[in-house]
Amino acid sequence: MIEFEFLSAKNIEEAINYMHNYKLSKLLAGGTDLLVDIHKESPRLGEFSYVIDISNIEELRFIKEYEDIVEIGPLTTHTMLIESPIINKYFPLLAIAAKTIGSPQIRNRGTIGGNISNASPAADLVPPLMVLNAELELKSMDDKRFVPIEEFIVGPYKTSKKDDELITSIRIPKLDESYKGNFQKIGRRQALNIARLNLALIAKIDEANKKIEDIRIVPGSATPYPLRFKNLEREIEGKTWNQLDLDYLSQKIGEEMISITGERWSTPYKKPALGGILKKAMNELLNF
Amino acid sequence: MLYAKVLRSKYPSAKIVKINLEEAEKVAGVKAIITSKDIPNNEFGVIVPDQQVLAKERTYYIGDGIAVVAAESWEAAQKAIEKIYVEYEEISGIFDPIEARESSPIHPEKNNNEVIHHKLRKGDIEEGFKNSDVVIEREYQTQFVEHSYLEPEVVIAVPYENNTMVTIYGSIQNPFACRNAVASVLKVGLNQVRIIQNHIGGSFGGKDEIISSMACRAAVLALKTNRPVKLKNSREESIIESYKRHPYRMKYKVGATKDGKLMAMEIEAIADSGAYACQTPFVTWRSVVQATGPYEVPNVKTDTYGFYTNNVYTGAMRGYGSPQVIFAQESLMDELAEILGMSPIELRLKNIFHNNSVTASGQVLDNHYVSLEEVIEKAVKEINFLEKYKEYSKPQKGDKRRGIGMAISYRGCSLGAEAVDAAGIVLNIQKDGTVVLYSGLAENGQGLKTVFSQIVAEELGIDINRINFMVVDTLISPDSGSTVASRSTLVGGNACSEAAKNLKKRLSDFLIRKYNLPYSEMKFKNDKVYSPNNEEFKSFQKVVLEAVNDGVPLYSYGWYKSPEITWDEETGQGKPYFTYVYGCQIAEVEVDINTGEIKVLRMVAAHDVGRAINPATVLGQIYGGVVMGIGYGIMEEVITEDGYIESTNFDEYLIPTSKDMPEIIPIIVENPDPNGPYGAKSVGEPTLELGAAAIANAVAQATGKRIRSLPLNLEKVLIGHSLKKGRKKK
Repeated sequence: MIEFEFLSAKNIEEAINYMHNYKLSKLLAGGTDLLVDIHKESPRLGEFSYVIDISNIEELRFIKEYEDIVEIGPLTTHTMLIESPIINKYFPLLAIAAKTIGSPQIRNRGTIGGNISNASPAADLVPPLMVLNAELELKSMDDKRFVPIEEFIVGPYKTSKKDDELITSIRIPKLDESYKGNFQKIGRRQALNIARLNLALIAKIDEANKKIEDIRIVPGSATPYPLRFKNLEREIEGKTWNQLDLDYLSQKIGEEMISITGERWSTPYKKPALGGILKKAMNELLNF
Repeated sequence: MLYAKVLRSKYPSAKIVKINLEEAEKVAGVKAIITSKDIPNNEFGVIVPDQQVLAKERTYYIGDGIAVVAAESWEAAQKAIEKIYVEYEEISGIFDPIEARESSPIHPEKNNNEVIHHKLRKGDIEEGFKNSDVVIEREYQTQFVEHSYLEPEVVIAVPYENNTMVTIYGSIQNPFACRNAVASVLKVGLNQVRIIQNHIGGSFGGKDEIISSMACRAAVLALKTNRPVKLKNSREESIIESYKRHPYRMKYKVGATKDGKLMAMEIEAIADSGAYACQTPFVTWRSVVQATGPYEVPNVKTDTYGFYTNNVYTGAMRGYGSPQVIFAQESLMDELAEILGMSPIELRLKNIFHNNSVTASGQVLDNHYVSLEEVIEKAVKEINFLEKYKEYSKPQKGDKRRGIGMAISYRGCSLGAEAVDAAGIVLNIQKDGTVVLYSGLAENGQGLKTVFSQIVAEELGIDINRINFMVVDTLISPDSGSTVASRSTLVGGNACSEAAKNLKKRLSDFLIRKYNLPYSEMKFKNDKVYSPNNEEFKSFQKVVLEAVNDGVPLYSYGWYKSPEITWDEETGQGKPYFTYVYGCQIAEVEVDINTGEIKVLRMVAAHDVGRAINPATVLGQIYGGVVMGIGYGIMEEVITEDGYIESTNFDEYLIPTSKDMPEIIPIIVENPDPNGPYGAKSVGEPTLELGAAAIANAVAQATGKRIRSLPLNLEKVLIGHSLKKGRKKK
């Protein structure tokens, strides 16, 4: 049985204060990961003495549009992402990814900040946020810094967040209209699914010349933590559509995965399946 | 009330060297801690009494309990559990039933690990294979699955309530089995133990031995502390401790002529019994009867076995030894059809049972209508099987491939040669015309209350609202054995009808005598009593009051004993069940050949139920059974690794969600059975046993690859085999 003290923060300032004063604490946002880990007494939790409840801090729950960026509060729930006109307009793949998470109950509770901080290799929002070049604002008692999500997640269930830092916003640069995105997910059933594999990609497409000018690809659940598959991106970038050999690329994505993970117990499945969803994503992206 | 928690074994197979309770006893709020030493009779079991209430000298599986704490709060009980010191000496376990077959006995008092061996011999298989043009041999395999009932197990034991030694309340599937276990464990008379069933959300065969074990533990604690004790399982505890569906390894050899007539079948099925015998002897018995499927086969040799291992034990689960053999036999029929160049339907229709067919057991099916052809035809027509089969047999392009597959079965109704098959009810009309119904069979969420009340209401010609169906109370309800084997409507329904008829006759005789009526019997309908020529006489309520005032006894005991059956242990010949039901399910699927994902698009389920007493509850059974079949077919699996259970909650043990539901087309077929109440037979289990087999056949058509083990998960579909992660470090 895990015992801890429960602290409830009313605003950002109080939360940061608690985090500063109470070391060995865990943040409670939606609770869809933390409460499960506590129930399971997961070793992943490490040692902690306090739970700081930030779930009632309304100033952390927002989606705002600016000229060049969209800013998302970390307590924004998956449901809010799905229903947001701003997200659907600028980053539909983020809404699509959010829709695949858990069940209505989990999507109503779970937050974008929690999905990022938990840093599960199977997190469904992380690959889309990574291809979108999202950046996190982190605040502590005497500091504020911005970290690209690629540098924020440093290992399975590990981030570069310091113990006293709070994610206060997620900023995503707007894309020009020639960018198109795609999200794929494989699960063992149709809902309440932890991704067996997922894949986010965006590409800048020159429709006139049928050419891919820029592409970013991040698979989830394929590597210890999501990261960009840059070798693969280089294979695609600058190619016209008829130069793309999808069978070859689906081989390449598997090879890149293995170059990172080595052969693992799940590799015999994940290698062809990852190739499969890449093919599917490219087909959908280019309307093949 | 005290709250109890169980300390379970750390190892699936270990000697218990020492248990030290000292530190645990010091925890504030702890009232009692029991170990095997405190259990008057530590072994119980419905068939073979080999299950430990608490592990004595050694643990046989990971769910074995070592000690139970009763405390003033859950938290105190949990703290105490963590402070119990147990010294173990690990014993290398056996986790494979095939290995167990040749290994030295896990249970030291036994000669070997064989729990049971059933045989069936008919004709001469050597001759049969010699006369076959095609002979094929295949191996099939099935997995452990969890019942996944809505609420985990819970019991409350109350000491010395209402003149009995102990009363148990709880989510108890089979109150009489539970009573028998508690009385034998406490070494007291059956009249000292009272079981009162509480409402159950679901059981599916799962709340039997596990609940008995919990009831025994709670009872010992209640008597020791003289306080009520509540013992409940968390979902994790439930999945670790509760018994599962038997995994089977099956070898099938079949011979047929080139025009598709089955000549011989040789079958060996090996079930993993886990740590205890539990229901293995009976589960494998149903398998030995039904292993050839609903086909006329002149020469048969079947052997089914159960072996002890140190895996989680296995017991009753909806289907009870049939889903495994149906998966094998129906896959086999499709494989054979392909080799013979026939359609799956053509081969089946050439061999299925009709009226007067002879089963593998030598039973002539001559006492009921054998409706196999009818259920097949109705299902095939509804889903347009032939056209779709032809279409999906052509080469398909794209990532999504479609397939359609069927499975058929015959299923023996009720217990068969397992045990005496009889059930009763007590019916008591009150002086205001309301009725109390005490049944010996229990409502487990299947709709038994409704069906029993309906039968009584129908016979007495009264509104169903007059009837109050009481929860099973073992001190009042007649011992009717267990609520299992899809037997309640058939056996218990007959008892209901008998009890109501008795009362009707008594009321009728009373009226005729009192009013000197020129009739031999009165008619009861619409809450009124009529003469035989439909003249309204009096209201039911008035008749009842007059009868009460005249001293007419208005309680009745209805009893039904099923017709004779026979079984020869050595040859498997006889009349194992007194009647059968027939079903056909067809699945249409779409498989993503890039990812291995299966989407079940549509399923049609045609079941002959004899008579649908309540069509809505029959439909409920069909929908539920189909979904459970999908789970069994494509995703459910309790992952065990050297006896440790890896998937202990519904985040890892996956069952279908509403989004996995296909379109389900139920077809109720009615051919009233002479032995059933109003002709009714069974529906609960038949609806679950076919789905996985039908889906496997559909997937084989879609992908061109045959998967011979369940579940058809992503890995098997994409790369042909499962992948193992290895044990989690805890």
